[in-house]
Amino acid sequence: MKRRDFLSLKLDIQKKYSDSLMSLDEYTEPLDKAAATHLLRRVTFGPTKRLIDEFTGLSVSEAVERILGNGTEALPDGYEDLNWLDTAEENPRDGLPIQIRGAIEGRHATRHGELKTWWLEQMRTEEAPFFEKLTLFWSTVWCIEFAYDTLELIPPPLLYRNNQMLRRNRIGNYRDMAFDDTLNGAMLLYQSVNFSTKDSPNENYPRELLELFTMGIGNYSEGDIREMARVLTGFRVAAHAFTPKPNGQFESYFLPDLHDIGAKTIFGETIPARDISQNSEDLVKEEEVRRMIDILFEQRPLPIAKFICTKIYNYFVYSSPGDANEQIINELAITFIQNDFELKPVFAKLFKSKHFYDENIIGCQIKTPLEFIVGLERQLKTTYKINEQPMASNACDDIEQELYNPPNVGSWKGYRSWISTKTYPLRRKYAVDILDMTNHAQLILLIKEFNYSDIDLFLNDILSYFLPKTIESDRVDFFKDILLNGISAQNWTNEVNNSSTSVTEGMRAFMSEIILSPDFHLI
Amino acid sequence: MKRREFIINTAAATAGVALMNKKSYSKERSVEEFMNTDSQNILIIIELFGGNDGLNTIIPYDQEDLYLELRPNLHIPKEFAIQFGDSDLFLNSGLIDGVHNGGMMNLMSTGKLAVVQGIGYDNPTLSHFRSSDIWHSGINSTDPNEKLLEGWLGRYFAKILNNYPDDIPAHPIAISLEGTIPLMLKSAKGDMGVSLQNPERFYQLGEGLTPKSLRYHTPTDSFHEREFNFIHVVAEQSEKYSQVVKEAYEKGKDKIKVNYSTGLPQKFRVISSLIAGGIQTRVFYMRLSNFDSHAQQMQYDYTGAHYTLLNNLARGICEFLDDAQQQGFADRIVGMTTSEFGRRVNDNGSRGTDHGAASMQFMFAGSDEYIEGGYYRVEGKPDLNDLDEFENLRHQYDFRRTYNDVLETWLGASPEDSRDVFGDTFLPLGILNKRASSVWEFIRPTENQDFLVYPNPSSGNLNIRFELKKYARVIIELYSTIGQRIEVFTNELLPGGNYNYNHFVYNTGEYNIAITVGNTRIIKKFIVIR
Repeated sequence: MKRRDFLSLKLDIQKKYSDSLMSLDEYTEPLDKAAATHLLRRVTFGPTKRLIDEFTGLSVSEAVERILGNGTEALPDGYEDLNWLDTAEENPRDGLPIQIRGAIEGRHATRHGELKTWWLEQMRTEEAPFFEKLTLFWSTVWCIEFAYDTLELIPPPLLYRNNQMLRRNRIGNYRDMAFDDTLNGAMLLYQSVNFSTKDSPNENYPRELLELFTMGIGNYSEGDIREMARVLTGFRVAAHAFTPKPNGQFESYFLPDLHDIGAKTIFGETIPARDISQNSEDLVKEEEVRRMIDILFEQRPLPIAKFICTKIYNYFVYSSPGDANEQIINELAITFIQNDFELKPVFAKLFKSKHFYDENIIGCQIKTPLEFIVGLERQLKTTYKINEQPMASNACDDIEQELYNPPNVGSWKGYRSWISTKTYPLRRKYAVDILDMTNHAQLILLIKEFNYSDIDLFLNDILSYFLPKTIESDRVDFFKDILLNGISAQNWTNEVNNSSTSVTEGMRAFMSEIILSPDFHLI
Repeated sequence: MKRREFIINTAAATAGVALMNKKSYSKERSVEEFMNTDSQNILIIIELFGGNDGLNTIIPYDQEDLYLELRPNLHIPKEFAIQFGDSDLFLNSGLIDGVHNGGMMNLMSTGKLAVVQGIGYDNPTLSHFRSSDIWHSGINSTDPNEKLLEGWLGRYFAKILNNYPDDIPAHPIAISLEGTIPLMLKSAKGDMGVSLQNPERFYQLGEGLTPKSLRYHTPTDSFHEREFNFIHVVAEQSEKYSQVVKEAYEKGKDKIKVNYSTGLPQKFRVISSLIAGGIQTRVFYMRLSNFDSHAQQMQYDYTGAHYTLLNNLARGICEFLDDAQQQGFADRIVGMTTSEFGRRVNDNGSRGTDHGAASMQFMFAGSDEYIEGGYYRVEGKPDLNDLDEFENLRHQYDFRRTYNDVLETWLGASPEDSRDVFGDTFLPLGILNKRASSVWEFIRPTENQDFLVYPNPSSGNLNIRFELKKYARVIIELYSTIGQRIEVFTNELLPGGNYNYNHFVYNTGEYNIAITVGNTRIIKKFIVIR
């Protein structure tokens, strides 16, 4: 019998999961170590040993409450690290000489880089409640590209404000997120609303609002898009120096003369024409923009709920849901509607569900580049400050996930597109780079976090720390050999206590093999 | 009159395709030479993502008044467009300005460029992502819930490579110069091709990547095992192909004859090195993004974002074709651009355009022997007066027709293969000429041609003469130029011998005659004038 056949036979026997998937009913057991690790892998950028210990034994309700928080916590403050958050530059497109324009664009690029490392630092160091995975998720829905046309860049202070807006709305009401994002400065610029006038309403944003941000294709007409474009005429953002800023630099504002005051009909609902005396920023925002958002949710609640819950499911559970999982998504959508589009109950229901902890869900999700890079740093406990060391940020760019610069308005394609013959070899390279930055003392500390009194116990722990599922015994033996590095099993604990270099050399060799395992890319 | 002028003038005057099939196989070449040489053929695909503004790429000065009226803020004045001879073909000057060797205009004059106007599909969607999926998959699905997970080339290659991924070809069948594999190269068996950007780095990083553990048996119901296997295959390919790519690149990189400029041309430089070094890859894919020009698509001097993109495209194509010419592999190259849609006919007031529908497409070749250069369009189209309900241009040619030129004429697919790939029959547009075809297995030349179609042009009489070597099924069909089948003249099994079929075509106009023998379909133009 070939080895592959033997393995397969063995796996068939071991296969525990049933054909029917579990429902969204609550998972009633307290979280064991495996379940806690799984939960943390999905909601953070990598579970540390301390977090796993903290969450093991909690009920799912306690765990999920601790993870999500209440939505009113103070947000991380970029002003400590980024000194340009209030600095406006001239518009490079304003007929400036080429050298000046180049210098401005250069500063924008540098600041975009600093913003990326700042965000990565939040991801690497955060503790519960966790903001960053959710914030990143929402930034893949409400996508923004720093370099958004051949010749256009979004000033990084606008990107920072966009980032904080998403963080603030991460578990709030989806209507509020839709409203805030619609008038967000970066979005106004990115999606051409900044140019839209009553004579030429721009269709760019309303189309993406319907197609990508709320309900998906097939639920609206071209007429709805055109009417919505008229609602948004006249909104501008103070993106540059020496331009009007009635509400302050980097804030949005309103030019009444450019707003279409006629009646608009969206999904059959009419927003009445307004008198010219009522054509003010506050009134148009409330009576037209907010009303427009409300109409979407009133007229298309089910498409919105299903569309958003599908995105949530794909991101946090599995990116290739089959038909059986559609039922789960439908159940989640109903929760969303029943809670009037509040997000927290949806996330809570999902993370507490039996389905989320199902055997077939564990280890099925391909790590995003950020999960791969930041996750390894978190798990190896690298100590440098990312602001001083942009390697991680460059690595993520190189393996195709540059923050605030996805390939297009649909954001990253995700799922299997993360792994290609271009990115896979680079993933190994960067993982090895991170490993190389971890010194002897750090590796000994890492080993001592686990129960190292027995090599087999340790191996079991460390494998489940880095790999999502229990592996076959021949692979365990293979890893054990490498880890021992010639030290006898009886003597290994002693050698750890002696801080022997044979131990850390073994640990390095072990990690190098872990990095070469396909399942190291799965969570 | 030179032949090129003849083609373009005819294009303007009548229905806009090259009139006669010039392919005569007059050179002394053995049948064996014609056989099995398709494997040398290389296809380059450049996706213009975001929706290229076809009307400002090929500018409709035959409808000048309407164009100026619909594009008050965004028209390119006649004096800034570049006219081909005295034809109706006006090119955006970005396709020529400062571009190597006279740019796309030179390709046009030397018969290596085909401009296809009015390309699109029924019930067009204005969504980038859905429309792009439709173009990549080659499936026009009107149900947005139907997921399009396989590409047209992916399906074709999966059909050829029976045992993939257990047996993977010695060389990557396709290479994406982007970080990811595009949908067009995906199949149910996995990704048909690899992605790489820097061949040297690809090699350095590839060594030792093959996982020590084995793949799980397929098919499997376990999500984990499915994804594990997917990653496993990519890891294996990374190591295997890194060696092949390195060897080719090392051998080919110093053979480059052209100084490639920045941007897209740098990707062409990599492709050229790999080909020169002997890689046997059939398809190279590149993407040029940022065509989604809702605002500020043009500056007041008629340059700007769109111009810059077209310039980038033209530099890439022209530098590469000249390099290929100098190195001697030009006759292996055929290329095409794709874009998910064109843009709205009227500009939107933000000095930009919104999403449109039908648009134009470039096809090019390194040698005029394998392409009928010219301006392909249905007479009077695109008609700026005849828009669809969303004020977008209507298409005349389904995009799968040019795909099928590539599949059947360049990549060796049989009509049956292409029907399997697209789920329907699409007649090739007849832009490309076969290098060699398996018809010679069945056909002996008649007056140096495979099938003699005469007189042509004709007042209605149609004679098709050929000599069949051995028993084969022969299908002869009459199609309109927009690809609708009008009549099946013949569909029968015939013994070897001389044949002469006579028919009469009543309506004047231009037609395509599709003759299928063996696994090959040959397209002949036929014109009826009275």
